[in-house]
Amino acid sequence: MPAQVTNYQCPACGGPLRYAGDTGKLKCEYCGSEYAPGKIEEHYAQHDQAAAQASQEMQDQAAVFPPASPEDEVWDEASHPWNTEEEHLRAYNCPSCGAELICDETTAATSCPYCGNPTIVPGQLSGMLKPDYIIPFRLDKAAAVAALTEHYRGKRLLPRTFSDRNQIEKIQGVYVPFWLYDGQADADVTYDATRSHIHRHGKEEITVTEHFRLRRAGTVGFKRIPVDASSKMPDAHMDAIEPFDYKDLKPFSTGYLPGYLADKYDVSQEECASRADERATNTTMSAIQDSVHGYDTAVPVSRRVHLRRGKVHYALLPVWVLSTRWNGKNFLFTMNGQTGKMIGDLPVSRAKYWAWFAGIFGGLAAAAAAILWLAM
Amino acid sequence: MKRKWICLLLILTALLCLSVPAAAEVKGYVRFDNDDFFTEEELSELNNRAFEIGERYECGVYLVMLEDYTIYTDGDVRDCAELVYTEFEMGWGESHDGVLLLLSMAERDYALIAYGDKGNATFTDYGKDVLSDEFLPYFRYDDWMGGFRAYQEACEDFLRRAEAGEPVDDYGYSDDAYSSEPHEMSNGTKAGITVAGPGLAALGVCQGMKRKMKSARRQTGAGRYVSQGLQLYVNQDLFTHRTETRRVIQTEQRSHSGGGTTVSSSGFSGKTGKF
Repeated sequence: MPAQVTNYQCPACGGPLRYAGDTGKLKCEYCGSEYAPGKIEEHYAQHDQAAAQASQEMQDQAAVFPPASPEDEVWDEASHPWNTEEEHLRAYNCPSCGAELICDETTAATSCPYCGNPTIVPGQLSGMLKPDYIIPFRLDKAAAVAALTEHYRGKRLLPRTFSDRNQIEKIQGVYVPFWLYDGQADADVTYDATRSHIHRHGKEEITVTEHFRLRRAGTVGFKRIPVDASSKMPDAHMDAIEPFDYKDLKPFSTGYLPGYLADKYDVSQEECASRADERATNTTMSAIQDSVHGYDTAVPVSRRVHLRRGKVHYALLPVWVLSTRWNGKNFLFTMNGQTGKMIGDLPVSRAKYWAWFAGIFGGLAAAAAAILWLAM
Repeated sequence: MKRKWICLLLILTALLCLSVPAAAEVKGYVRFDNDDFFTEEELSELNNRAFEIGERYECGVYLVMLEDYTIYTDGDVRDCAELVYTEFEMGWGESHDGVLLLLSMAERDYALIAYGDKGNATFTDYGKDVLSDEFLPYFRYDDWMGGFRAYQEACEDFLRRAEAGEPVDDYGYSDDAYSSEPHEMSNGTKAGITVAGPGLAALGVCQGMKRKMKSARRQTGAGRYVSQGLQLYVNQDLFTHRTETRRVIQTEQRSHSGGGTTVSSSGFSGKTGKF
């Protein structure tokens, strides 16, 4: 459980710092100063170390005085326990405005809903929970809104009121936890295959069919098959925004988090592995099938796939999550924060559906009638 | 070459001697080399009918009945038919338009040939198939007059259709009744096509549009994450056995593609077969 939260602030003016995807740096909203994420993380690590040392000294001396307000803007966990039936919630006090901040137990980075200052819960992403990699956001909120508008374009069955109002209830950049699986798949498949030739002899057509037993065995290597490790994120949405460009994978640093929401994983790598296995198996079987050439038919009669898992990496990947509400229903859209790929299911207007159906049917029926009755 | 001249001489002699024109003005539309084949009345009837058709449509309709065509030629029954047509200068007008049915009784062979622009245009490849179906059923039961009458009636109908600009050719005619009108689709069928075709097409388009509204789908493969393509270490193809199936080719089956008439370099078109 995290003991404290950190609010990265500008060393120059004390204003809140946010990660800017376009520059790849932390930027002060007030004075405009920019800092490399690594520098700020290093700066705060030193700060934390000094604070911890001072705290230890104070405890050694007396340990009877109430703790002074920390100068480094470290949030204290709320003095009273958050004791509701929801055991998965945590409460913190905002060091900037003093408001009580209620977070999910998996929250690793968030913003104060009152003063808006970005905040990090380092304990969520340290030690065993520290991600190996992160892909920083490259696209900002404006790009996500623009992509949603573009997503509506060309959707002829979209209700007009849905696109006209375009009320985005919530838009949030989220670093989603993913497991990245390396591994190998060994497959051994046997097929019954046939090849036929047809020739004519007198008044007979003779079909000669040659039957074969084929065996193909081989190995396919996989690297970093992503599976989202957050139960909050729908699997279909996370799958559909693939691929991420792994060239931008960087060693994890909390310096990339300010300004975005981040969650630690809540689905273990063992639980997620079955999805990676399924995808690897399908691709391997497809590759094996492609190696069968020159036959008219090839039917698999036996197959054996053995998966050998390699390294599993823990990574945070950037996703813009947008939600809209229309006719009492929520619609969730997600955009790859690196590539801009936007996905999300849209509502279908029944009126438009049947109008299109009637229009197409009417036009084609008229044309067919003209051809059948007038021309024939 | 010598044999060919002998053959020609034989055929000319035989046919000239044995053909019996029914009337002075009637050409020899019916020829034979055995006078047991026809009675005088039958011969007269056939010749007169052939004359009427020829006069009306300016296209000769001929019948030749031989004991054995191989007496007259080294070639096949069609070669014999072409030889007879040419040597007797059959056909109407300068282009010698006409159609000839030759029966050879020894092996029950027949040849149906056409010549000239009108002859070839009227009696198309498909038309000859249809025409054969008119007379062959009679010949198979040795009903020669029945077959010849059917041949002449069918020829007249073919000529009438050709004159109207609708020769019997490929689509639009049933195989068993060439003289019926081109296949008319019933109103029910038309209504069915008018409703079902566009309905299915509209449904397909609308379902396609509906599919575009859903984009959140789970991935089933991992092709993007292949670091090392398939490395095969077993690649065996073993032949196990061979099977053979035989099917008799249906020679009666007609092709309904293309249409028109296939004319040889000699200017004849035709078909042969057994009766």
